[in-house]
Amino acid sequence: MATESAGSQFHGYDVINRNLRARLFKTGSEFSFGKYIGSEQLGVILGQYVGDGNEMNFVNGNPNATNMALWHVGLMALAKDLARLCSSGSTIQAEALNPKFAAAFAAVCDWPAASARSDSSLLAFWVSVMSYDAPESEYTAWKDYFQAQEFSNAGGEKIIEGLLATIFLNPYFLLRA
Amino acid sequence: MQFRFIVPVLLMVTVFIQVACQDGSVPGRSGTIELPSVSPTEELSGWAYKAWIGKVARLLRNGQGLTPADDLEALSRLKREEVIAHFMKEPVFSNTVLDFNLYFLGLKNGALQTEKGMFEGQAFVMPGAITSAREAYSGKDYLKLLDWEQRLFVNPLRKVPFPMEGQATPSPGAEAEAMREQHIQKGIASMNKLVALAEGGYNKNHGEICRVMLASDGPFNALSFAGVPGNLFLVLRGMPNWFGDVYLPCTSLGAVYKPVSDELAIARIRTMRAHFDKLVEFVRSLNPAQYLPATVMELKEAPLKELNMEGQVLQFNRGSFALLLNSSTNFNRKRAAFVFKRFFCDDLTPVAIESPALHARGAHASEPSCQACHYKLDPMAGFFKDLGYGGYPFHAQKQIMFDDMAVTDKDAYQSSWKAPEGAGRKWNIGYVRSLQFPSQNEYGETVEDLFGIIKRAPEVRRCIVKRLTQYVLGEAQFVDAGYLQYLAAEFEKESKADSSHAFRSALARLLTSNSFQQTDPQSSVCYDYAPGENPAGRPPCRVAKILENHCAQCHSSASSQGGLDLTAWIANAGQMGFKHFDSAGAQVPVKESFKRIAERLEHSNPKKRMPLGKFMPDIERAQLLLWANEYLQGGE
Amino acid sequence: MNDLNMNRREFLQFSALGLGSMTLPIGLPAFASTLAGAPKFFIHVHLNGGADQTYFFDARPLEMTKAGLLQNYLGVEPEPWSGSNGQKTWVTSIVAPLAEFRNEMSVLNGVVMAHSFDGHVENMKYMYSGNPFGGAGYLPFLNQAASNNPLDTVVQSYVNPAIMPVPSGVSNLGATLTLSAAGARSLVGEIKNGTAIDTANPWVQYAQSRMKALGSGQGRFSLGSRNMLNAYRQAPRLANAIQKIELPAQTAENTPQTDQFLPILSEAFRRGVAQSAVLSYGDELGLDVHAASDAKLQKDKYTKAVGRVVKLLKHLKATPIDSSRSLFDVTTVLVSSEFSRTMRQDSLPIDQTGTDHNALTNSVWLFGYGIKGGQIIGASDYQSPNETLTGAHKQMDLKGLKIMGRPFDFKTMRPRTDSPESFKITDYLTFSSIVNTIYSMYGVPESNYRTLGRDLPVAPLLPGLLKT
Repeated sequence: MATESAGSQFHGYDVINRNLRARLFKTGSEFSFGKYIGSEQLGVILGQYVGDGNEMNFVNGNPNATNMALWHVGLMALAKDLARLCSSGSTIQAEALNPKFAAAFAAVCDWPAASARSDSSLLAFWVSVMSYDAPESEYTAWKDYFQAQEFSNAGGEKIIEGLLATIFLNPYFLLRA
Repeated sequence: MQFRFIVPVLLMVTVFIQVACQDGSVPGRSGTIELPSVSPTEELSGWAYKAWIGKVARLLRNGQGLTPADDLEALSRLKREEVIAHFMKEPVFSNTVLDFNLYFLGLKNGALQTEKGMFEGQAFVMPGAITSAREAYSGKDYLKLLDWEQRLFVNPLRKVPFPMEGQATPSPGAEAEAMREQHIQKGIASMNKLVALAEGGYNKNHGEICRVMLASDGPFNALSFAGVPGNLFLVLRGMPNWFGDVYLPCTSLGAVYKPVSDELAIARIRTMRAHFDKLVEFVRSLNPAQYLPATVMELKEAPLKELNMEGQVLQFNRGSFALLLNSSTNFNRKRAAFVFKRFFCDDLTPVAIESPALHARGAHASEPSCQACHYKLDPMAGFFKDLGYGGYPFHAQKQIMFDDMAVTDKDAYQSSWKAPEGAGRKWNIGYVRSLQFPSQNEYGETVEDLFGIIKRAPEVRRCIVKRLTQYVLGEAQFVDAGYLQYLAAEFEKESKADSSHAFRSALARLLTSNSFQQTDPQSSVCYDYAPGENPAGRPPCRVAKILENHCAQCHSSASSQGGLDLTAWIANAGQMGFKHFDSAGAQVPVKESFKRIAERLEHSNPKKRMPLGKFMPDIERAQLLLWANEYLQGGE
Repeated sequence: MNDLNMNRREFLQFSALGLGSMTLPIGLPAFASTLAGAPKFFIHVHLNGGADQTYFFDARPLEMTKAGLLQNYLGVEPEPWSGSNGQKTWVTSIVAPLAEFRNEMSVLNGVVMAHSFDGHVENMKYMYSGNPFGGAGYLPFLNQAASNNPLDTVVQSYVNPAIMPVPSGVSNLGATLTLSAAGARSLVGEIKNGTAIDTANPWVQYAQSRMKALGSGQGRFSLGSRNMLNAYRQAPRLANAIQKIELPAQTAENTPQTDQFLPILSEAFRRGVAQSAVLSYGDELGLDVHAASDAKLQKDKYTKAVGRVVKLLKHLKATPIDSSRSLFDVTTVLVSSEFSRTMRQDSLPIDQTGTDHNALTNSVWLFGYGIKGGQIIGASDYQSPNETLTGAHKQMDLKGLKIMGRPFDFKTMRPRTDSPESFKITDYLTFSSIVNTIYSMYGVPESNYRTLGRDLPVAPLLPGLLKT
């Protein structure tokens, strides 16, 4: 069997931007992930089609130090900004969130309450962000990690930042199959 | 886990896809697609089935995927074919078709919509992409993608008009609208001025007429400043018409498009005046306050009849030719290469041809190594022989101007494509499949002829299916050549009756394929085969079918000419290779065997070139060679 | 608005909204901590569009123009220029500003490019990859050898797709970014101001643990996960290097892109972010002078091009890399176009002609690190109207419109005097020989050396070009 010569590439800026908008925000939202990486112009560094009929390529789709650094900067910033909705200081209006995500989010804000740490709360949160893009085993690993003793006394804002960051940076979220 | 829904595994699944109305609503079952599954798909249930639904949603909703508004539990109770039908009914499916069409044409570029209600500019570069997407959604003729004459759909006006010199950028809303109206009024005033100047003597006032025409507040530039979508003007400027007749003599092309008599010119400007009002009326209807199309189905169509532009919206227009610049030394080869790559999936991989002497001609490459591409590239380029700078037609002119602004005598330039004496045709222009088998070739003269060929060539429909496979499964994924042939044959068959059905059916087949549902696919593994295919013991899937179609008649276990059996893939000294015996009955080493195969595939002598005396499409020959070379270098 | 009055160059500029660009291969900064050692940087200045080399270091006497063979809109006799290796050439006044670098530069004339193709793209692909159909670009190989740290494989990206300094058929350009000056500023600013990639952060640790776990399979997704993990582990080093970049003050909006870029480029080099760069100095100058009206402006266009090269060289000299060396001392600069131009266009008067593409000759200028300066290497033919052309020339130039490289003796590093009857690429100095020579200087493995074509040998090295 031949060794894989090319691994899965990133979905790229456009798909991730659209997924974030559709899953986390209300229909018609003006959300743009570009805000969290400084400029939509830099989206091409995260993977984008460039085509003019004569040549067409999906560029920067393979992970490299530059695009991973930029994914990290942008997704961490978004995770922090969203997490601040549990307290204050977020640049996002709570009313802009779509109801399903808002409900899942609100439930986990109560961390470390038992209801926030429950399987059902975490499943609702996972599905609202990741959808079913990852297999069940990936959800289970994530749930087990956050339900561990280590986070039993953490605050809601800190945990939400972690819940989001770990989903956003999961290969199933960022990579094509 | 609580998700325990089992989808029965069926060897033969019938998919019924409802055909939607043009307005996006879904009627009763007005059409059905019978979709035999080509290989037993793996059982999916619970979480995995939902994951598959999500993946299907992402593809059929042009990347968006499932949203919180979806009732996933209800969807997961549907059969796979019903899930697909559900998403194909949504108007956003038309965006997916457009996205694929742009991929097919090499124009896919970032997100389809740059902002709410505004489609990416490249969506309009070749109008057939949009027309065909609407047709596919509406259950009409998807293959309008390949038509020469097209309809014209347009974006809304820019939310904020461009400021003219000395003006500041306005805020969106009332300020922007006031500036927009100001620009439109300036355009109307300039139009009136043009009429007055022409009536005062066109040739006498030609300089001033051109100054008004080309000024920022000239009639059409003013509309551009008001935010008119670029493609509308690109089409207007695409050919001589009521606009071009007046406009072209004022431009660099004036050297070739000369001004005309006063009488004719005045008539032309009055005609332009009459159409300008209709144009302004249409432009006003594109105001983003009322018009923000979310899907292709909501795009507005330009009233070509009212604008007296019927038959003037063409697949290749000013926009597409801007991407296919043709210098005075390029002889339209860039345009020809585009046609090969995009419509025929032929990347012009050099494959030595049979007899270079047959086609060697002065202005075109005459070296054998160049002939490997040019024997077909140059005749294809000839279809564009009358189209010069920006794709403007120069049929009626004695000279032709190119994109590098060089001007040359048209007859001398076109002589490169003259057919030799006794050829039985005037021009050596056409789609050349083979020099050895001329009956395979199709000849013509004009771009219209080319699109006639494109519309009927089976290679083009196979290319659509190949690109669709790449679009759905990813470009890295190997696909069994037999499976691809099967998909293409079904598409070919079905498209004769209903091409949108054929398109959706091909897409549905791919969405229900084993390849599509892999979570960690291996690129070199083929997950799907045509019905009845047994892959056991066959050569690698990438080439097995090509070998079977073109080589196995003489090189199989029943008839292994030259000791070579191209149907038997065996281990030989630790390497996999073909069963290949030399005259002494000893197995030929794998590397040597491949080297000989590659040499015979590329041989320029028809007596040695394989397959002997038989036509084999270049694309398949190139595919085999590429594979053989990769194998020789340690691949697969 | 008036698109009909735009020529190709203007159209591209219009499409590009006026942004210039620089291709900046982001080498993983393994050498960042070893800058005091022996850093080597490489800059390819591309005079994009096809520059006529008879206006620079391969000029011809005016008798060629008087004989109606070669357009010359300078109208001045060229000056002789002798190389330290005893070879001579003619030069025009346009290159006078480069005289101060005379001992630090060598010029190679008569360099054959993709001889079977006359297109820009094919010749650019050849220049960068050695194959007119495209392939692996040469810059990442330099980075690999220099940094001893393999780059990941990322095809080139464009912030601005309308201008493509390196054609997209050139693959494997490592982590290569094409950035306008504004794009570079934006990227640096974002990474400097964003959340640091702290490997002690539990969320980062968890994310990396999942990448590792998901990377254990055999398929594409597994490999993608492994690539993601590797990239994520390398990202802090890149980010840390970028953190150290001191962005120059924002210049006026109308400052040429090339000028805006120089301080960013030198910072990227000095801080260990990048090791090589492609600077495209031709787009906005309109070097593709098919039209006579454009050809008549060649003096101005080429003067500007040379001015930019001089500015770059002076900037490198003025930028210290350590207490005793400037960037110029540790940087090799290669200046080339994708090809030269024909002497004239067929059937047009010599004072009313534009020029077309000519891949049969070219000139390459090399400066700085590793280059044995002062030399003139190679030569082209058609030095006088009466010169008897070789059979090989006539074979390749049916209409007699082109200058062509002379056959070259790789042992003596001098042009040959024989007259081959038929064209064989092995007889000529090619761009691939120059690349292979640079490869040898950078320690690139021989397995990566360019060949002269399919089933042809490796392009011979030019050892005399390098300092010993």
